Amino acid sequence: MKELTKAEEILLLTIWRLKKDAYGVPIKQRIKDLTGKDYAYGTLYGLLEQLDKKGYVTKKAGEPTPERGGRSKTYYRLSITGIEALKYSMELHRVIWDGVSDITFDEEANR
Amino acid sequence: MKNEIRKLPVIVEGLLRLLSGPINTTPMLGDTAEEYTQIRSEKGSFAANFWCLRQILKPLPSFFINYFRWSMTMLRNYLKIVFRNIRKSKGFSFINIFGLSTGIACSILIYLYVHYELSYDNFHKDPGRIFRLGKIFKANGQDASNSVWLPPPVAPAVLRDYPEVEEAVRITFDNGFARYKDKTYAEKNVIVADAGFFNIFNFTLISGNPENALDEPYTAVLTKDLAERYFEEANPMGKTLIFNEISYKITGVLAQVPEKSHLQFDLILSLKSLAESRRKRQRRSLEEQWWYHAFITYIKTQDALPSQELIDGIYNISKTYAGDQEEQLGFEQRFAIEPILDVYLNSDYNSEGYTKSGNSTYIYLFISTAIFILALACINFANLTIARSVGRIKEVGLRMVVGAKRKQLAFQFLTDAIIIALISSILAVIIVKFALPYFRLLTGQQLYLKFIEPGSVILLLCFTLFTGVISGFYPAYYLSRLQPAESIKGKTIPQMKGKVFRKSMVVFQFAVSIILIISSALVSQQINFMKDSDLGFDREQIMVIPFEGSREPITKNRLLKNELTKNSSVLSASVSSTIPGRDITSRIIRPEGIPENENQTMNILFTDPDFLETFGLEIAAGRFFSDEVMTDSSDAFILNEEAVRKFGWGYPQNAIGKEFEYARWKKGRIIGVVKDYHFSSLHSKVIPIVTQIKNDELRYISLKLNVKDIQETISYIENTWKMVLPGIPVNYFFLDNDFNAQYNYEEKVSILFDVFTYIAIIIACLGLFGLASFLAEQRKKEIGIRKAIGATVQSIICDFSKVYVRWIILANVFAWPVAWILIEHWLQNFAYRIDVGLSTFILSGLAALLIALMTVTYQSIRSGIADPVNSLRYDS
Repeated sequence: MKELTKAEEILLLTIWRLKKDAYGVPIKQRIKDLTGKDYAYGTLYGLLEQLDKKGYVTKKAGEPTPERGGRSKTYYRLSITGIEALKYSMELHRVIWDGVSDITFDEEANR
Repeated sequence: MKNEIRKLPVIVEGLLRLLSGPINTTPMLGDTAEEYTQIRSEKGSFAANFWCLRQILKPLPSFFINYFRWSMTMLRNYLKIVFRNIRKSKGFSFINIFGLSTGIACSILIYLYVHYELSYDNFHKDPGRIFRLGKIFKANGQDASNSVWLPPPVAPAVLRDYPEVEEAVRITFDNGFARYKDKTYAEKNVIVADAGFFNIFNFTLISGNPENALDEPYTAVLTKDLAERYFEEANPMGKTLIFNEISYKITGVLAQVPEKSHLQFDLILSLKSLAESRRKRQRRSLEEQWWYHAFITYIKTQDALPSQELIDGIYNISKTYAGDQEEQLGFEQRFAIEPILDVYLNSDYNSEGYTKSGNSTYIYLFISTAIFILALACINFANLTIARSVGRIKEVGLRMVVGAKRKQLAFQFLTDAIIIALISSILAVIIVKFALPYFRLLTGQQLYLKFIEPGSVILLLCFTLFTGVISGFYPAYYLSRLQPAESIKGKTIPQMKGKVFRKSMVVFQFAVSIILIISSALVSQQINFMKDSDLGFDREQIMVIPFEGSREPITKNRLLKNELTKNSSVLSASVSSTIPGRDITSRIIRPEGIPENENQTMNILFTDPDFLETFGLEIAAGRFFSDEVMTDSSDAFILNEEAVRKFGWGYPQNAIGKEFEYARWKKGRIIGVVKDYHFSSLHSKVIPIVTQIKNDELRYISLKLNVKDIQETISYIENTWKMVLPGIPVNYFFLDNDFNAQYNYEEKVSILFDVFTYIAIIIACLGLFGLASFLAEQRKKEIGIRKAIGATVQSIICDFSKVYVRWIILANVFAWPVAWILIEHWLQNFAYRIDVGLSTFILSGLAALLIALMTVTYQSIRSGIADPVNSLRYDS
């Protein structure tokens, strides 16, 4: 299985967490809250588009609202592939971080 | 205010759309709008707008990187296709690339030429502040002439009266013999200049001080080459050079005078020396002589825009200082300034060849020729690309099916054209490199290609891009318009429109070629006409030896004539103050029956009784001078017919016995009238001339030869000269060459024009050849069927050629009126000109037809004799 990049991982996880409410504005907001990264919509949609192309997410047109200038939302949901990719990523994290509780600068090793 | 719904600013929306690339922008814009509204309600409109700005700016870098990467990927594909196409159809590609590179090469050459011509005199410091004065001379209220020759008091008066004039200098020309120890040479390019010369002009001094080099009388500055000729290795500074028997101290050495200067000289003498010697002779200072027209005057002002006061003051300066003389003589001289940058190309004042001058008409002519040649090449490209598009229709269709948009297809074909243009440009530079020495020879200009300069590289690149876009525009438009389904099926319905375009382009190409053929034919006709037409005097077999420098030849002219005519090859010899084709002096005279204050200026020629025979003039009335009649050498005059007309005396017979006043009111008597002859080139009308015997001011001896052995005669003449005038070099020339040298400029231009005409014809023919071979390919089956049911080879060739004949005839219809207007305009430069006859037009049209038919013959014969079996065997 192909490894996810960090940005993909964050994005997929955010979509998963948001469940049914995963469209542009909340996604962007949540990412900002979690990681402090403030994506521009241009960048965000570029990434989402790539996730779509790779088959990690599926798109669904949502309802238009007046404050959106009458434009409909696009909701994102994880596909099976997306879930599996995330699971794999989680497993990988678990393995490589196993037994690490704290990271300090080891003066002995760097001497 | 709180929950008010606000739309996104239009600009933001547009930019977001533009930057977001090929993805669906609706949800993105919606999100942006949603958050925008939210921020707006929470933090106000400023913060919201600022947020919008950040939304746009943040993704910019990645946008560009992405865009570039994808363009490069596509470009690689386009490049591949272009090179494949070049390889697949070598003939077409050759025609395209050859045509375009020739067109671009011509454009580069013409650009170099035009650039050179336009950059005359711009090497001086602040050229915008330097002006030359011109004279508008009126005799009795009639415009007599516009010339650069001003009287000497003008410059000092302008300098004195107007503080805004920083410097004013006078220049006059001289020639003669310079001597240092035992070295004597004839010097032709000598100028006499005021001390301020170097304050206006930036001619580089290698040694000497430009501030005061010409301050003293009898000082001189000479070029490095000249210094080496006389002083060899020695330092010339402070040495004494003898010029026309007057000693000058060398106070400066000049670097070579730049080619791009309208003033050309080897030696500068200080004007104070001339003033000094003239004062001794005439007891009058130069500053009083308002009617001594011999000086070119330059001024340098403080500002590039001279004040109206200065312009008016200069205009009327003669009226201010010499108004009484003007009234008394009935003359009026007014002066105007013209920028030095206009002097070479656009001068309104005649300098009689003493300063270099070009002709702006030819600049326009060449620029339009370059444009036309390039247009022909671009048309070839467009035509052939469209003609060949049948072969590419499937490619286009496939691209469309896979998802290429119209914009992308158009872009692909444009790229195609630009790449071909780039290849052609590189070839063009190589062509220019090889053609430049010949072109230099033709134009006589020191042209160089400077590709080290970034400016010229950028210029060439822009030009290439332009050429590519121009030639690729129509094919791109045309091919991207195709419908995918139809293109894949191989339907060629849109072909029909392409045919009209193609036809009209071919007609245009041939129209241009025909215009060029007609013009260059008529230009050379005019030049031949000028060189061969009867001038009213005999210019063949006349050898002229100028008297330069010392007065010895003048005093010994009788002895010289006697000795020279002893040889049987020398039929006659005559001394004169000038010869046809050279400049003539003028004097103030007052013909009989004209009021006291209405003097006229009249060209005057001093000569001897042998002039008539030597130059083969004809008598219209009365008689010519004779040695037997003593009074002929004191007060007898001969006029030409034009002078009789100018005086208003009607028939030549009426003039005989009439009198006029001349030179300080002496009376002269007219004894004869000669028929008109062309003293100057056929650019101008026959001038009125008065002829008088005078044993002074003689500058040429002309020998009418009847030569069997030219070498022997020349050595006889040289030996006799040496015997009579030891120590004075002999520099002879032949009158016909000298006279025809007046048409050198036209001849050069004509040759250049011919060359470009050939090139244009070749390019047009290549295009036609390509098109013909394409059409032949298209009609292969039709011809096969025709032959199968019994058409003969001749009938097919005939059928094939008919199309082209129609095109060329149409081209003629367009070309003739344009050519006629152009050539009539050009011929107005000449007082004596050919009549534009229909025959040239018809012949040129026929020539074009013939060339076109010859071009297509190969194709038509090939398709005519082809075996129908081959073309009909497979039904593909």
